[in-house]
Amino acid sequence: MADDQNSQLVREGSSTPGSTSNKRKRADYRQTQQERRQELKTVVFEGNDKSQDNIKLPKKKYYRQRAHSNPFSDHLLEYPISPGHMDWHKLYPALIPTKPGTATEIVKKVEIVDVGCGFGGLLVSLATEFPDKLILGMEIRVQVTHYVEDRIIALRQQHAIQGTYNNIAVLRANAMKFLPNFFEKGQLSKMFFCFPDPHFKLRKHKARIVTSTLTSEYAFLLRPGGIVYTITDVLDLHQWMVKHLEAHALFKRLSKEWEDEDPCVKIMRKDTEEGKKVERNKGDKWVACFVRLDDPE
Amino acid sequence: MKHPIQKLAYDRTSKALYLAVGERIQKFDSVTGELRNQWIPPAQENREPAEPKTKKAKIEDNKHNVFRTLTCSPDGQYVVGSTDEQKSLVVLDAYLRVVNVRNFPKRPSAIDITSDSSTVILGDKFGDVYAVPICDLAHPPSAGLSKISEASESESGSELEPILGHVSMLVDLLVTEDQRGMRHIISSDRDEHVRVTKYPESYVIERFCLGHEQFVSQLLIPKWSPNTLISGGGDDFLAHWDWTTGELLEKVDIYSILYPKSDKNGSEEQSQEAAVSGIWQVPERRLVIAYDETVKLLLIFKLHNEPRKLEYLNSFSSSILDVAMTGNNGEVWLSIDDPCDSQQLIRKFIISEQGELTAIDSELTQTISDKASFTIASRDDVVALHSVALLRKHAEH
Repeated sequence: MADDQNSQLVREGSSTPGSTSNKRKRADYRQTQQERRQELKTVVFEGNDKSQDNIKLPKKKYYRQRAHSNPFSDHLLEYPISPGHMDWHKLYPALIPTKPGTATEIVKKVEIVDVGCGFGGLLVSLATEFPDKLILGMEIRVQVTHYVEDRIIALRQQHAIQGTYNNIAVLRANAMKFLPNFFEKGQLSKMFFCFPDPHFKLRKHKARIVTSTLTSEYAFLLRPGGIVYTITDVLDLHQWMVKHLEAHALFKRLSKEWEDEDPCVKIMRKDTEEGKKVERNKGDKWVACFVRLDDPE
Repeated sequence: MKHPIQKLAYDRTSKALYLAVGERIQKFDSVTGELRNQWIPPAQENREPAEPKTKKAKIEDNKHNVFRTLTCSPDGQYVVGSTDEQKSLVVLDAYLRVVNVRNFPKRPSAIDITSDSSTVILGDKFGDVYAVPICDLAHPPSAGLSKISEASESESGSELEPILGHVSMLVDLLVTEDQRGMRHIISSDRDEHVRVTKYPESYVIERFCLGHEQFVSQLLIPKWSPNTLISGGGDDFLAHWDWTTGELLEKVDIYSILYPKSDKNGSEEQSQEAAVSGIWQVPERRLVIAYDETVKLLLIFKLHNEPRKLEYLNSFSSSILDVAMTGNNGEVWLSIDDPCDSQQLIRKFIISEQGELTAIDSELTQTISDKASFTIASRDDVVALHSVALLRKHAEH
């Protein structure tokens, strides 16, 4: 008995130091980043400010989180009661200078959304591809959202002279439930669904981000002519998304030729984190894009 | 004691009052108090002994397969209800004979019938909404009666595709039709959303009515003001909308009526929350009635058109399960759930223009109370009936 306890102690003693110090390191890192995030989130970086060294890009290893999140559970989420209640100044401080209600001129609205933006690879590339548009990434996992926030802060500061990356932002949100709380009818021109959770089990298919019922919501948010982009490395999911979007009366699939010419498709294939991983593993990537048709009379 | 009447439905064409009592449906003549018909689900005894089917076996005792919704078709030909445990939609004709029984993958939570009495619109616990033809050729009545308890997985509605869906429990819905024949489905969920969708072109979402901060359990369109929507649930107010534009016209405070002496920011009692479990209308009086199940208070409002305003008139304290309007002279039927007096299951009142309630026809209501329902050993045999407050969200992380 005593021996057992001793050996238990020895085992714990020998195994813990490494993991504890790693844990502490991660906690410290997260703490520091958290404080800096709170401080710098809404700062507009000026190009001639030499007082600060460049902020380092965040390290992904400190933000790891399990890859799945239950979209049906009641997360502690913050979302506005309606789009009119949303304070976009918080997210785009350089481009939306004032809080809602105080602006006299018409302010820019978010037009491009990356649903489930993950570590933000697509966002960062879209920022320079569409410098005039406001682009929003939505992600349900807390740590991953923090990573993208820190990444955007660092990029804004590092590129303060060029003034780039002020047009991208990230938000922790459950896009399956609350998109209409953020955007008005027809506000969006592009929606991206890149490497979504495949939810393989039949029972879990309602948790997929493209279903016939959710597609109606995407049609509501997209203006006629707007585009839904999908990419996945899971053939079954690709076929599922194509089936549901093609069956929807307000969407029409775009041709292979269109895909080949569209810059966003290229970015989606090359610059998403998942896209890079699939590339390394020499896996297949399936792309399908759909245009939002006019409402029926 | 007697099992309380959990749902009421009044059919104007035949002056019939339908009751859902446990898993039964009863039809009364609302003038004479005569029990005209009764529908009891087929008995289970000739089933083969239950094999060890684990979860299924529990369901087979059928005890809690109670009706949670009940409504009459506008033409008075059908009465439609949905049940809990077997997740079925049950369509009966005016003689309470089975027309159509269909089981669903998830528990139905709200039903309405199109104005042409052709289609049931049904929403479920998962947020999906289905359109089910009332007379469904795939489910003929001959198969219905014997099969109600045996409706197998294969015919469990899996072939029906949802026509629209929320990613949250669907709590209420209604189908509207304007003078030009344009139809819409208005649906509400546990995530504060009220959605307006075209019907049958249900792939076109017209708008959201956003303003609630808690679950939305009740929707009502007054007959005399067809562009108006009144909604309520876990919020301290009723929302008064023009649903054709999505404009929130006013938030009508109910908190100060429910908890008159308390300060809203007072720290004493955290549990002082609203839970509106019913909203009805008395068109001939232009009244809107809401019931809060936590305080057990019926709130009576007058809806004005010019300017559009919901004016509080009066309240009435009683433990109520459902209300049915006759559409005549302010008559209302109340299903009472009084643990001290389980003999009086139903009462009838006249509501005045000023929102005052006067009990009438006590002999008639006693006759119906005596014949209605069935005896149970104790309250434990009744499923939870006042459970709307449970829809309130408690975030995990």
